Amino acid sequence: MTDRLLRALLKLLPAEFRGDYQREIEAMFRAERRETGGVYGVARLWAATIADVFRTAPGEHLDILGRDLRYTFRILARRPVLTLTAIVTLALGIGANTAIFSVVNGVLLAPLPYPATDRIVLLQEDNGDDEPGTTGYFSFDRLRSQQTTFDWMAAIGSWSATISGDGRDAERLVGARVSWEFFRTLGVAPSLGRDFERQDDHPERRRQVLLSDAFWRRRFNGDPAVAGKPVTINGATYEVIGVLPASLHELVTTGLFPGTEVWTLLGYAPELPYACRTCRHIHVVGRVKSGVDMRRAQADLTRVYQQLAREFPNDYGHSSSVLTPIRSYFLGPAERPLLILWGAVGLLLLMTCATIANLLLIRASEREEEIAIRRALGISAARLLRQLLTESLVLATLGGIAGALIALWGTRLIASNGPDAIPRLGEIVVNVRVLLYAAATTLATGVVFGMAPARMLIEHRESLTANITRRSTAAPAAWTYRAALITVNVALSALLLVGSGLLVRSFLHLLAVEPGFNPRNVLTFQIDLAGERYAKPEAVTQFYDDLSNRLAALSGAESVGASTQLPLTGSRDKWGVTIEGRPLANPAEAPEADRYGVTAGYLSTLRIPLLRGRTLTPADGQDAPPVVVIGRRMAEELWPHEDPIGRRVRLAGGPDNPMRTIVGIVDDVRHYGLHLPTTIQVYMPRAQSPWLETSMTMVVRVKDGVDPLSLAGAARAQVRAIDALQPVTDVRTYDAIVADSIATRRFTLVLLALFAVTALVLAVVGLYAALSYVVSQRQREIGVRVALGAAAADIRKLVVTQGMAPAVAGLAIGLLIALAGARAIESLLFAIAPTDATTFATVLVVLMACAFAACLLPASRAARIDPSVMLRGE
Amino acid sequence: MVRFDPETYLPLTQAEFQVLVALADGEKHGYAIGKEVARRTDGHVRLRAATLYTVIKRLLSEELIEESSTRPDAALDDERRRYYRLSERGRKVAVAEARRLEQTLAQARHKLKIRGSIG
Repeated sequence: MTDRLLRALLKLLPAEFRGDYQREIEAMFRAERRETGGVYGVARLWAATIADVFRTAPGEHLDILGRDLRYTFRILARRPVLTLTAIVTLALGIGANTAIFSVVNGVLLAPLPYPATDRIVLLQEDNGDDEPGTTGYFSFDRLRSQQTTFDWMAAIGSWSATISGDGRDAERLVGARVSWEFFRTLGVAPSLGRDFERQDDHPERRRQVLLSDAFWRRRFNGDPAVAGKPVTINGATYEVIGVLPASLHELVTTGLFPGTEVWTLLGYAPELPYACRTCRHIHVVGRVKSGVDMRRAQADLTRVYQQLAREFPNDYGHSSSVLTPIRSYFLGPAERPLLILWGAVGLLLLMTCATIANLLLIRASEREEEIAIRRALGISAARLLRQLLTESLVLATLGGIAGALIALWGTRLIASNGPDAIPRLGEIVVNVRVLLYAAATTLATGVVFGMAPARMLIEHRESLTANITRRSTAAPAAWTYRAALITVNVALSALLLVGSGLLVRSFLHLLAVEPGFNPRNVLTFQIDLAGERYAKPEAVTQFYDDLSNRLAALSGAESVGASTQLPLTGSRDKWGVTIEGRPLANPAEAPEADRYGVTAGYLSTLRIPLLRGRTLTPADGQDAPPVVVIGRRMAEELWPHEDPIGRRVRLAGGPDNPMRTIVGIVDDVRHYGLHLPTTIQVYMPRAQSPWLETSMTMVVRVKDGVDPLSLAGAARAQVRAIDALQPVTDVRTYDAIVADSIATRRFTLVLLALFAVTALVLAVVGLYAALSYVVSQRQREIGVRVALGAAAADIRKLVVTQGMAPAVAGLAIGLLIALAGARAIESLLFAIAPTDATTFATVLVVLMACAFAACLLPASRAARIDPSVMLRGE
Repeated sequence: MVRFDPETYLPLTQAEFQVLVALADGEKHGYAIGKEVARRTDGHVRLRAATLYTVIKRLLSEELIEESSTRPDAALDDERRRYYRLSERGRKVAVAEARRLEQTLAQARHKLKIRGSIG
């Protein structure tokens, strides 16, 4: 018992020390124990012994560590190229991993900025024929009053707010109109002033605003007494009632309307015309009661909608409200690309480990003698393992430090260049969690890549000790290890190459998609007229006519148009279509078309081809007969056997809306994304719109050879010349809009391709290094073969075969895994199958060629071996 | 060859010095060293096993002591025990340390104006 206790205690001391002195220490303790009498004495002896071991153990361990470190640095310095290669490889592997993790951490893992986020949901009306989307105020009001499973429910609508009248330049802001419960639903309270109140959420009393912290600091210089002050927005006076906390990176409004800085009350009432049952233009969020599960909340919503459908069968039909947790709504689209990238860098890290292990194996073989001698001198296997692991951990740590620097840089690069579609990119930081991840990765890497060489050296000690003096001929077992690592590397790089190859091919397909218009040489910018001056449609029409004429007169400009919305900008404006002479039993089932309110120059400026009939002209004014131009798909779907030209349709809602005559058919445009099918589309003259249409996006086609952005300054000046109070926003070329629409794909693609190329380089370098080493080890044997008459070609074949065997095996394994696993990225693909034969064949050829090239150099070196020189050297 | 300079080993730790002194009158095994030190210092310095053997290990590596190959009569000997003896270097280093301590003491006596024995 005493012995066992003592032995357990002595385990704290290094194995080396125990090997030397354990027996004597035990003997000494026993002797002391014999001379000590009484329970008290024995207890004191134990206490002193325990204290003694605890005092001495750290010093002994440090002593060994110090020696191992000194030894390690000597060894590393002896082969600077190898050491540097290893450190750079590691830095890349760990750096790429940490950078991607910091993105994953910031975007997916960091909690959302609200209390109990998992209970906040988005409620979207689903009327069966389209993706679930916005809801009408009438429906929201019913949901809010009749639900039983939510603590809060709130509505959000878009609001563009132009602030002026404080002596500074007018500024256009992204705003949101929210029902009074909005911030209560999120669980956020203003940091200054007060929240909205129920009695103010009313058409007559709604002119109150809450400001974002950033906007308050920028426009109001952080005035602590801002609450209660008046502010002029869109020409009307609002009261600032408070400021939201700076910590609020508000995801719900900024997710729906990016860059929201000011919130006002919705102030709807069910009797208002735009609160009609089919006027679906608000978003709804809710906070589910604690303890209520999502299925019950969903059933609750369905019940309210069934009631609505019974009351208003014409308006509701089969519609319902679908509940989505805001987490998956806002982060969901970013999840897959990020997880794929994370997986890819994980594979890259594995490859890094395999490559370094391979390099270390080469060095280990060179050190066989040294190790054998140390073993023969009685150094224990455990002690040797400790030394070898110290070496790999030192290497890993150096690589990890360099990797952390790469990660810092890479994270910043991704955060500033990543696509807007990935939420919260701007908030990404390298924090403690990221650093811990980097440290853990480094440690794991060091142990993983250090294990193989260490085990090999220790396992082969018997054969080695027996052959200390023999110039070893690359022990077959050592080659087996190396070959296995080559196989792993080639397999992993095949996997990454297939993945990125599929994305590249998808992207090329995507670039080849015709958007239906010509985005080249087009400048776009947005104007949102605000103020009493534009209360009348004539004034708005006058403004846009005037501006169009002025812009068209600019030198460099070719043509000018304007539209209420542009394709590929993420906007959404769907109007129900009723065809004259085809009454619908249920108006809710009317087909919905993407509606563009355009000026006469719009279609020709974007070069949307006219297929039949006529295009819209300046003569189609407010008082002219109402007309529309429709898209090809609308013509084909709604009039499959007839000529639609001359037919009449009613757009959106009630009988007070006029019938409009179809005068022309144009080709379809891709509105929602190059990868998505075209939709039903309709163009109406903006002057004939039932709404004021104060907000328009201008499109200016410039002459060939002119940079569209070079006209931006002149365009602003023309707007100012008409009305200095109207800000110009969103100045972009149309090419940039198209590029933004595929930015997430490009982001994923570029990073994945980068990783795949790195992987290819790692695989090739690893193969080359291993084979070069084998050749140098087999020099004598090769020399003998040459002396016995082997031709250079035979020698080349011998070496190439040795190198290609594991590479081919790796390629086969990698391609098989890719074949099975490519479905994981299916959702990111476009117009190709995850088993695309071209991609697989290309990867096969490229990898084979690279592997062959990597084998060829060592092979030709082997073929040049001169046996006479070789054998004289013996 | 570089001339051996005992000064480079100084100062010794208390435990190192005591072990060297304990071996001055002949070789001993570890336990005997511990007992000798305790006896000579009236129990003020007690070298426990782990400390004692880390000191022995260090002194061995610095060649201030060496393992003795001669063993006492087998009947009296415990085969587990190894015996250590003072090397020539060790003796020089111990003497140098004693001198250093003496000087330190003399300076302290002078400055603190201590006469006769301390205590």
